[in-house]
Amino acid sequence: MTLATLVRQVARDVRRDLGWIVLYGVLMSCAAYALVLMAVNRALVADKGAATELFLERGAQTVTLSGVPARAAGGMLGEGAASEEVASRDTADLLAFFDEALVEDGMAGSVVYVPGALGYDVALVFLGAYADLPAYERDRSAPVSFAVSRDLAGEVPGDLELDGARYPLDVVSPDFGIPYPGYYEGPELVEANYRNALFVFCPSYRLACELIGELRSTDTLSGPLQRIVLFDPSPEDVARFRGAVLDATGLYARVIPLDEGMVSESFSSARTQLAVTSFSALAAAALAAALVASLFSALVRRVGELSVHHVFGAPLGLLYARMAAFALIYQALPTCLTLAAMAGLASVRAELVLAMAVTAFAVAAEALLVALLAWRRLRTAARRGLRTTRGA
Amino acid sequence: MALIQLRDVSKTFGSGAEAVRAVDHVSLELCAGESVAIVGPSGSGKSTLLSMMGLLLPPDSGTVLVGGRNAGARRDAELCRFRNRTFGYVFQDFALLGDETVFENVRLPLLYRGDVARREHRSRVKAAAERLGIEDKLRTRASRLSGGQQQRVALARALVCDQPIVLADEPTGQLDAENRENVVRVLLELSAEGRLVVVVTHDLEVAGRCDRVVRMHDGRLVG
Repeated sequence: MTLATLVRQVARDVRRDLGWIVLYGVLMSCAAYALVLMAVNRALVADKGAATELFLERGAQTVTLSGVPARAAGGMLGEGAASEEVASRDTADLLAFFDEALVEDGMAGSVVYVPGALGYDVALVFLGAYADLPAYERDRSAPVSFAVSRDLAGEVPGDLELDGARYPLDVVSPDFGIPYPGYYEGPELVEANYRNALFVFCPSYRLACELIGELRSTDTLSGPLQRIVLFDPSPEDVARFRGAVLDATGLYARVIPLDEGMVSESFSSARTQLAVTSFSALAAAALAAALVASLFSALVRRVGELSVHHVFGAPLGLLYARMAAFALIYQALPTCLTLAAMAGLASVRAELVLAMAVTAFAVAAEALLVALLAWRRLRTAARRGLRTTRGA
Repeated sequence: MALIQLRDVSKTFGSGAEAVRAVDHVSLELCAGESVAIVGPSGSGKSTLLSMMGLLLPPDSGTVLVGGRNAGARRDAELCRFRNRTFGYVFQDFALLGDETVFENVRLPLLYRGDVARREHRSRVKAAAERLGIEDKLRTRASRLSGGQQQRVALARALVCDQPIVLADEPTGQLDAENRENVVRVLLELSAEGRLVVVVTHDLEVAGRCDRVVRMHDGRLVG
């Protein structure tokens, strides 16, 4: 009995069940994709949860701005009245608030995007308490720290000259990510989104304005106000902040504790997530069970035929090899498609490389185990003497 | 010298209250060139005895000697090789591979023989098929043949390796008179050529044409 004969026999076995192999292969791949995506999603949600935790443990309160009746009434008075109102706005209180709150260990924090600043495509300035939130070990003894995006590693000088002063210029680490309340821009996204970028960790708003003039804006779209977060503010701080915002922008600032804001949103999304996850997991489990059962029955169907081979000289070990090879090929299509999907996703999430190895091992082990179970039937049949071959 | 010697062999199926002693302390010697019929009522242990002779079933006690050697005391791979070279089996239900061609069915023992080159397979299969008159069916699927033709394929498979022993379990059980006659004729020819042919049968006419008749009842030899 040569290896070539064994291969031919296995090929013939596979040809006979090709329809089932393809059907289950495609279905199992769909299920496996769902599981892989769920795993990735779960990892992303975990990152998001960790980022949110950073804010929650500091008693973060988020700010949303909306129009107020007074402004609307102003609008109703006519164009002239509205222009007069805008002209009369006072930004002094808001800038003073920024000066006081956006400092080292201050009660506010923000991140501001400044396109084209200091010769970079974009500068991200982390102000106040926000300076300590991104995954970056800044030198707290220095009033400001600078780092560039990873695509500039090796291309930038070791320091940055601003207004005659030199500052050390670092490169962010590979695990650098930016947390937001309820969202996390992980290392992969940071690397993809920010190229030729400068990250400025400057708790002091005043100093940041001196270094990057554009920051002085109280515009709700480009200034610190857009992403401002208050950390454990007192009611008086909130009232003062609201007043300053109203004076400066004519908008009403709603200050909402992050944990309260998340309750309603996360409750419904959690239920949806749970339903989708449960359905996907159950569907995948049912399909996997169907695949295993179909594989087992395909093998058991052959017991009679294999018994004839055994009677005429095929050792049981050789027949197990034939059954195991068939079982492995039966699983090959879903496994290959799943591994291909994982390989694609592995470029985004490195831990999937390990998952690929584990999956390949688990599938091989499962195929060999199912083949072993079916082979035990063959062995039992072989112990029935001349009645061995019934059903060939 | 006896080709097969059964020494006080017994076989029990099941255990406890459900235990059935299929073969009970049977001793028997069978020589080359003999044709032996084993007869007896259903459940008397004929097929079990034949299975033990053919090393398909190990006895619970006693020994089976083939060619003077305790053939059962081997590892599976070695036992398979020995069976392949020594025994040709014929079954009542033919035990053919229905999806395979007649050629592949007859060639089956040659696949596991090991010492017959692949290029010799065709000539050996052809010779066996010609002997049984099925040479024109070699490309036909076994499942498309009639019962008589299928049994002839099974016989061709049993002699393609020139095995010295042919064991047939109810080989004529599913055949009409004409096909039964053909099968018996071939079996007796094989015996006349020097092979040991052992046939389990209910058919007393078939048994009567064998050199020796062994009768069984309740797992024991009775004559």
